[in-house]
Amino acid sequence: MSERAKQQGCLIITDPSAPAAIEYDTFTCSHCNSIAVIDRQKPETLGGFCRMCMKSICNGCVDAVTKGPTGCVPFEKKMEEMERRERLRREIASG
Amino acid sequence: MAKYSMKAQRAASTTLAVGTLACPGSGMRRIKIYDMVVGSEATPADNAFLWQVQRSTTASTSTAVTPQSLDPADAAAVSVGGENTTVNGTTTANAFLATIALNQRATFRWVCAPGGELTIPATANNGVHIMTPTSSAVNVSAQVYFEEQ
Repeated sequence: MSERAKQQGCLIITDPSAPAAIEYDTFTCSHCNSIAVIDRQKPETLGGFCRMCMKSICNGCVDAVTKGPTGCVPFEKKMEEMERRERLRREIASG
Repeated sequence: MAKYSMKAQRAASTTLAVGTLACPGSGMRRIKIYDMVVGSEATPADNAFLWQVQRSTTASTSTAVTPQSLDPADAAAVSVGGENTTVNGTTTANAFLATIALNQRATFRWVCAPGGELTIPATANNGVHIMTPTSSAVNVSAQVYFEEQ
């Protein structure tokens, strides 16, 4: 399974006024961990692909990578930093 | 990794969360949400709803919900669930993991492929709030499936 396909998800909307359940593909942004809903009629909803971490990213993160100073910071790395900070805070608090 | 399920229910509020899922103050584990179902069980009506999942960094004041393990052989969850929130925790600005606009009559389910979970770091009281910033005051429910790592 490709990296892109591996991150796919599915959003199913069941609406009594619709003839059938409506399904959208989704992917989870590798940089901010948000769900991006792909509307196949709208290419702009496809987001982007980070060639640093080789994973799909949402439109907001595409802007941050291409126009901002942040570059590629995968969400996994952000979480590790948060957890490391928490451990340090606990160590300091416990003396 | 053990899998758990929790439900959250309330009369929808534009400010208070329908439900929260967060790490405890100590003995935290990463929480990975892989499946979520939200909708309204109220009498069908045409009301506009916006559902949002937003990150939070402090615990909310709410009615406790004990997450149930999907495999009864698994240990109890360490994660803290809540519903009918009376005071929101501190939500992180712009950290919306999902934003879905729906009619009240509609129900949505999101399921991810392995690797695409919404992840909460193993940090004290970090979690997510399930919010309805645009809503009518009718009963709504959310069911969240997650695993702890």
